[in-house]
Amino acid sequence: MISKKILVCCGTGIATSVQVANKLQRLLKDRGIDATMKECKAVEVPAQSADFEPDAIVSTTVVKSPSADIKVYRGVAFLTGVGADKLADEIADDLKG
Amino acid sequence: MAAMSEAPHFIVVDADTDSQTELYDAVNARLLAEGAVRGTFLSAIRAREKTYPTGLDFGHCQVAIPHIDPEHVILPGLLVCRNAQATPFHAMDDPERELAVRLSIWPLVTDPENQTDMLGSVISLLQDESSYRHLLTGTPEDLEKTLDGVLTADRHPELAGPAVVRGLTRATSTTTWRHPGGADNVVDTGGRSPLRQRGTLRQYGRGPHRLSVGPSIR
Repeated sequence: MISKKILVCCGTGIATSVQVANKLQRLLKDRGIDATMKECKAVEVPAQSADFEPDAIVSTTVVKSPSADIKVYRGVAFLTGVGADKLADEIADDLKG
Repeated sequence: MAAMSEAPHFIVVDADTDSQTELYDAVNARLLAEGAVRGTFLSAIRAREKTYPTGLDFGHCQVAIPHIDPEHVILPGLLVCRNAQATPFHAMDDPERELAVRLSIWPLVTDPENQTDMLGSVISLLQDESSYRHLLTGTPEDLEKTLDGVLTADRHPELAGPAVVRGLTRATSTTTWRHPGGADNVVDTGGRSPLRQRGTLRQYGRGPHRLSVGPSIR
């Protein structure tokens, strides 16, 4: 089990980011990753990235990566279930790589 | 009375319009009549939908979940709007993509720490096509039963299996659904249950199987 930090964001930071964080944390655990999740609003991503230093960002809305080192994934799959396992595989592989 | 006003409202609005403006107006009028939102709600939620759209494509259905910061909301709850026609909502993760939405779910959040579970429960429900059909076409009473079943599962996590997630804990709120008709229509299983969990902490995770727990899920 390796440990990683994931920043999860959505438009308001009050609803969908929490659902995505919950689902993704479980899927990553199944894939051998112990993830610490933090939720925020899309507009807070630059400040939260500097503060939390995430290994990856997952967003339900469109956000720019604050740094070339941090990949941003579109996380709506974790709300709809469509393609969720495949995306979790991709994120887990990237985090392990 | 204080406890009653904190209980999440469950409201159903049935519309028949192809106009996005009329849809927003119908939802806003109902919420204002219920005293559930402030006068700022309509303009705030429209502006938010423009900047951060909330359309979700589940594959078998397209649904929107418009929601807004707590400052515009008075009473917590969940409004389900079923429209006989589709109106355009833009996709959350691709604002240039337009979805044809008949079912919109409006979470009314006053306390984000405690109230986002109800949205999660409904979103999980929508992943199942028959549940979507049921929400879209059931009677308001049926809907209330379905959602109360989902939320009963939330109130009794011990029934939901060992879906435990480390590191994410949330205080859970009492999920008492109050029909807008008033005190005579109160569905108050949560308030009287010995398993009532107001103010307690529980693990936040849950398995997908949990949604089959509720007795009224079809």
